[in-house]
Amino acid sequence: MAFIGVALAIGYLGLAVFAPTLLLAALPVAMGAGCALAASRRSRRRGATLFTVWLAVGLVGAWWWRSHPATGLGWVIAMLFLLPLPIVPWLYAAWFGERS
Amino acid sequence: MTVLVVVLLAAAGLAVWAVGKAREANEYFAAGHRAGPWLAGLAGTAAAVSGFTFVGGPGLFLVAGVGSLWLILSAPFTGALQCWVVGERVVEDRPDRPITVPELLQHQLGGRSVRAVAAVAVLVGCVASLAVQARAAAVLGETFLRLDGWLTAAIVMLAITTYTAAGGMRAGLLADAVQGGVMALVAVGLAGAALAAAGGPLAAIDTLTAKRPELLGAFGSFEPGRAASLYLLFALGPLAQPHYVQKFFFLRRRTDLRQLPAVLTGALAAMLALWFGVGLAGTALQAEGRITVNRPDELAPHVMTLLGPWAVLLAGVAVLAAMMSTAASFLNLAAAAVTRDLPAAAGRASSGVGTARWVTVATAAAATVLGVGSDRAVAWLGIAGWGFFTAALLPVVALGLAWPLCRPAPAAAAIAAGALVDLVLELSRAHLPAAVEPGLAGAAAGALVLVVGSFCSRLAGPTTASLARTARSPRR
Repeated sequence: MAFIGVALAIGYLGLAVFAPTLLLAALPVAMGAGCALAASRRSRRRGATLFTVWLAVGLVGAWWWRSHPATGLGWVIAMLFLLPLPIVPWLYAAWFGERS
Repeated sequence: MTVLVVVLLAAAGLAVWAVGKAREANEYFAAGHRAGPWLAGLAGTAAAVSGFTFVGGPGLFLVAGVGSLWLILSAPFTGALQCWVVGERVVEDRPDRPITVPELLQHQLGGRSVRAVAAVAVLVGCVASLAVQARAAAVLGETFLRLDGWLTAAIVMLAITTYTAAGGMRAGLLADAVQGGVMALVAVGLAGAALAAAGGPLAAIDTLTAKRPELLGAFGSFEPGRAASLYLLFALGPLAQPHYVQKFFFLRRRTDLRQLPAVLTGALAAMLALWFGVGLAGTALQAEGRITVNRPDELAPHVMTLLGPWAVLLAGVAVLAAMMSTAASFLNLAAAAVTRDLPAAAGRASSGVGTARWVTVATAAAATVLGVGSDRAVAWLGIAGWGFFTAALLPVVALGLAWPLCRPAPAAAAIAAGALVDLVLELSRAHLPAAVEPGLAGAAAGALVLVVGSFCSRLAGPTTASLARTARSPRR
């Protein structure tokens, strides 16, 4: 757990200063690792994997369409905002009972 | 002016109702643990959404376009993330559970130093964040209501202080929940009306594609690294904002957490519709020359003026509600830090609810002077306040509470180091690489101090505090 925390801290500082574009690529890994860290004392880790894959797909699409005015905006809104909007609270409620 | 007078009268009425009901610390600081998921969710979202969202957000869209949306793209999962990482550690089914963030840290980590440093961080961050609300009130007065900024800020802060000082969160919870419902409805309505005035969302996008294409695409005018940095800041930041964590202290029982993310996410998404709708429509209207904007913060007021007096009135009410709910939480948190956490950290008894009322008044006065005197835009003041809490508290809340080897002294040092790094970097923000967010850099520094310090403490042998903590075993 401490290793993940230190890796995230050093990774952010290094990438933000020396390779900011790579920060985007590292984002899903960092968020997934953060979730795994938070879940390390719990029974559920599949949520972290699902989250990482969704975020990676969303960010790859955003990078791909970064110069397409309407498509880029549409992708960001649809994939990164609207799609998870109903799913995440539902998943939390569904898994809450199992964790409790 | 009529709106402000009505708000003052309503605040006075609420204060009279609540003053006799909030005599105990549990009632004053945690609303007596009376809230279910709907009440806590609406109130929590209202406290989370401030003038920053209603005034600063659309203004930031004018400057950065789609780039500004990276601050809010994490909204679909932050509610669940907060409940999962923080809420499930905070909400316990017993009446004597912690009711402030510094108290929670002492309860979980042991040692009074961490409570003292956390209380100072909460106090400093609350005054800075309250200044954002005062600044937003001044902008509201100058642009929506055509009143003097100082006068508007003074009246608004007086109204908030009246019911918050008298009734604490017993009054604040009810007011926040009502304000949250109003904000959600008004935000969706105004976003729709603004987009309709611009000819619909597709027409607005066509306008910007033709006239300001640099604002569209996936990142707008932000570098992708900067967008990623802001996304991370606002995805993880909610875990460390004391006014977000505060809603968990209001809950009646642990099972209320199950439905809380749905309420939080739905209410937040409705309110953020205004950021996107008014931002997109207003920027398109400005590109067409139908409105003229001198400062980014003027975008939302000018769009409302274009829509008509009804929109100005509704927007004024929504912005007022946003500022009041957020400011009420910060005032209460600051009062708790001064009258409950700092005395406890010094080994003394709490100062009581009477002193908390006076501290609330003093904090409001200091924040009003600080906020109205600042010449920074609301959006950047908001990011600075958010970043401070993220830098100071994220390492201990997200890592410290979950890591069994975390020690109290390194946790206190991590809070101080994170806050210090954030403040230093915030002062030199203009010279920083675009992707470096002071709040995240501070949190990273704090995390390093926490981990290295805890390992060093462990090598030096168990401390009294850690032994006491092990004996209590408060972790789940």
